[in-house]
Amino acid sequence: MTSSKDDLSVREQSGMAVVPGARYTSQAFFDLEMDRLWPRVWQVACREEEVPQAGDFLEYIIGDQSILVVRSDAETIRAFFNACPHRGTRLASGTGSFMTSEIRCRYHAWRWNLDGETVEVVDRHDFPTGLCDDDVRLGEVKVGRWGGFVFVNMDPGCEPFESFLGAIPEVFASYRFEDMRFRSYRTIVFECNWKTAVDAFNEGYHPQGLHPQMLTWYDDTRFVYAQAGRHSLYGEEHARQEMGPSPRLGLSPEDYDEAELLADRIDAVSGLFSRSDRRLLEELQRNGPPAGKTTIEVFNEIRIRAMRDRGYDLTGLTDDQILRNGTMHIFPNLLGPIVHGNATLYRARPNGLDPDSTLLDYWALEWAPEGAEVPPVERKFYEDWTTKDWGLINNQDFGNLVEVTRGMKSRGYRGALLNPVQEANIIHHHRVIDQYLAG
Amino acid sequence: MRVEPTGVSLAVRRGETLMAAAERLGYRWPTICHGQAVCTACHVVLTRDTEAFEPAGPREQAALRLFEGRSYFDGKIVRLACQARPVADTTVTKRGVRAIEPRPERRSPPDR
Ligand code: FES
Ligand code: FES
Ligand SMILES: [Fe+2]
Repeated sequence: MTSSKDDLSVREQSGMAVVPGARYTSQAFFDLEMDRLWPRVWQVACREEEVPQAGDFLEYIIGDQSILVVRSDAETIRAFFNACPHRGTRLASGTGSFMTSEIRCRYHAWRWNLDGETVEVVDRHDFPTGLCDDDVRLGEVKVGRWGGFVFVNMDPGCEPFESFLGAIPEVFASYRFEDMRFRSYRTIVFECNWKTAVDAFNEGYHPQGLHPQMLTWYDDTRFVYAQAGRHSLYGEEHARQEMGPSPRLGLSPEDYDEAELLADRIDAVSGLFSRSDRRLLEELQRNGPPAGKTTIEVFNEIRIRAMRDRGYDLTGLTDDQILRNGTMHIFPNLLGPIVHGNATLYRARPNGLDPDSTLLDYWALEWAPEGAEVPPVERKFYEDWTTKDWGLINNQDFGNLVEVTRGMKSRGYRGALLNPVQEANIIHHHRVIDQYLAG
Repeated sequence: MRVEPTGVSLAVRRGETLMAAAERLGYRWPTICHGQAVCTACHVVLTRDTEAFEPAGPREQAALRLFEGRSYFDGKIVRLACQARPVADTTVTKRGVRAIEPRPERRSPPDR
């Protein structure tokens, strides 16, 4: 079945945006993205710490395109189309380091330096004298860097990196992404479109459906949504000053047990606390807060102290900034919850040319304590996500991706009826995609 | 059947779940999933008489596994009120069970 062009655009219906399912499921739309979005958009290829030394390289794959990110010298990171200018052979795969600071094609042994300039065309005397070095230099891909992320863009005439990022560096300056390092790096294959994976983390509208268990201790109704240029964010306007369940439960303060709420709150961030913090928390749980303070105040104090003990530099941040959390979406495909000190980021990439397969990179980043030796990134790959327990919330999100995919393929599916407020960032995502597809 | 700490007492019919009985009798019971054994918000803590209920079926058992690893529930006996069917009189603990207040009568808007 082919879709007409009209089937693929976001339509208005009763003042609402309706997103046709074919934007997720059809090969035609996927091909359009492959043709007009991915080759022209700035996208995160890797983190700088993945290519720390001159000569280090990393292969970034998007769809059927392979790009080599190369550390040319201490300051410079370059990127090249991963294809030999001679007969097209892929020049390197995975990650590694180019010996002797040269890139050498395995096929006929042409060589380039780390800036992509030609070092040798073997038996050059056979070629006409008109052949110049530039004819055979490596095809350059543009590189932009912000916050330790290495962005690439395949389009030589693309918009400047700074204008693409827009307000993002300013809005997220205090998160100091440049000081973060990988705590873990996992890549998981999912049977869904890349946008389905993005959508899964781009709204806080679904906890009552997918994660109802957390509503007994978590107020899921406090998010505000905003768009920033091509990108978007949502989160709490202010840190929580009281402990309470979701208002969806309709409980008043005398209806819930603070001890239970506190215990669940502690469990949710338990990785943060040291043994001495735990003692303080136990005391709080046993005896309640000291006079003049509320339980959440004491809990928050302990939380902030735990972050300091972990080596986080919180200078210049208000308690409110430290305690609130939010989600950042960098168009098109990097997003996730961030707090000061750490970030969980998901990068969703089309897996080959299949609209129904996605590579989800699941990154845990954390501020590296000053002067600490950071171990090299260890990447893990999961062909089947069910082979590991990802924790309740992730398991619920991950398990849902295939359900969305199956349902969207139904002949009876009439398109996504998005919530204009809480799913505004998803609508925005589609509209920005359309700018690329049209332009 | 008695529900602490509010001291609500419920006459549960044979074969009826605790939550269904409460709702029939005009009480609001905390829930997100409305009885589908998913959200766990309806849970009750049993203080004694664990045999006062029919044993948990597979759906309830699956949902009860979500309490594993929640430190507050360590050592507590928990059941889902939307699934658990009492077979004997007992007392359970559940906060937030309240009589639904009769809605204030709707008045038609005044004429202008
Ligand atoms: S209610 Fe949102 S997908 Fe069904
Ligand atoms: S009402 Fe949701 S689990 Fe019982
Ligand atoms: Fe989720």
